[in-house]
Amino acid sequence: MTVSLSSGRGDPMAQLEGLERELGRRPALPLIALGLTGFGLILLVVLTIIAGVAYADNWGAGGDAARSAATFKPWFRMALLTAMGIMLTGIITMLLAIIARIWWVTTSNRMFFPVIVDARRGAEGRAPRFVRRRADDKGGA
Amino acid sequence: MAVGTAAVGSADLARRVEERMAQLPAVQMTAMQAMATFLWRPLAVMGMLVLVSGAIIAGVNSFRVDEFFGLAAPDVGARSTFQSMQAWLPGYQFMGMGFMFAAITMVVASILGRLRILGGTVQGSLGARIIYPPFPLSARIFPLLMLFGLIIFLTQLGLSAWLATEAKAGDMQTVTTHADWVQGMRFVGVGVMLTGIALALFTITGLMRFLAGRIREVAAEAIEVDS
Repeated sequence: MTVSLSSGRGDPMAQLEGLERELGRRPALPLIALGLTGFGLILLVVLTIIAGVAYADNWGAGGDAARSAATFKPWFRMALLTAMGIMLTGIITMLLAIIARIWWVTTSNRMFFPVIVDARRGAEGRAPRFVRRRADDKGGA
Repeated sequence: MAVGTAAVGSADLARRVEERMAQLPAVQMTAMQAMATFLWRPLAVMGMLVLVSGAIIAGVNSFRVDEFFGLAAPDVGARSTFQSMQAWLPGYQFMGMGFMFAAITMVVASILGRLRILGGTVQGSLGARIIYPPFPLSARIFPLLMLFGLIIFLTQLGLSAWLATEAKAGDMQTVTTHADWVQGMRFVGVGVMLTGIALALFTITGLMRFLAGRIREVAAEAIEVDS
């Protein structure tokens, strides 16, 4: 099976230039994922510090202090689980970024490998095998 | 006959590919990646053993509830044993989760090692100089986060054991006082482990991005030589 740069839509050189531009652009998805994971971790640490500093001693104090600690408990547990959920969302976002990156590597390999192979064939004085010239596409004109 | 010819052609091709591959420079994992490739298995086995044994202990412990719950004259000894187990069992199970998270981190590090070998092999097979990206900061941090997470899990396991002795002694006020923040500490341990895994995955995206760019560079070099 032959692969042609010019088999897609548009000018093949424009495709290559577009790919170069994309390669130079920093993708946002991994950074968003790291942000979500970091936010979840900070939330967990802050909640644990609050539980340790503000409420731990209240259980033994009795009265309003103990009531305050008892009120804190349910939302504290829910907040812990929410922070975990945020972190897991970050992990899933990172996995999506990897899926996108796999697609990206496959696309760039598909575009560039034929170019490399044909360049090497050309250097050895042999005819190109994969990449057809645009002139060839127009019937050899 | 055509099949036979194809088989001979295929064998010949395989031999030629093997000869070509043998000429390529050897590409290896880093020491940490090679260690991770080996270590994830014992960690995963330990994690599974802890989690399964914890589930069995929890099931057995749940039957003790009827030894005192709802009885007019509850057995104080049975109740303190039950409460003691309730204090240390979550810590034990979180330790098992910690081992599993460490195993996942090791697997991701191992994937990074495989990507390193594959990237180097592809560059070498294209006749290009093998180049790797500068060692990223995220790759330095994520093993440390995994170790830090394991330390947090070990610490909370120790605290859980201490709370269990307090519960056995009947001092439930101490157990109640410290249960919340120890619970928070366990989740912080999980959070640190997940952050390490996220950083390891981030390193993978960076490496794949670099390898895609490197193939473009090799293509550009090849076209220049050609022209």
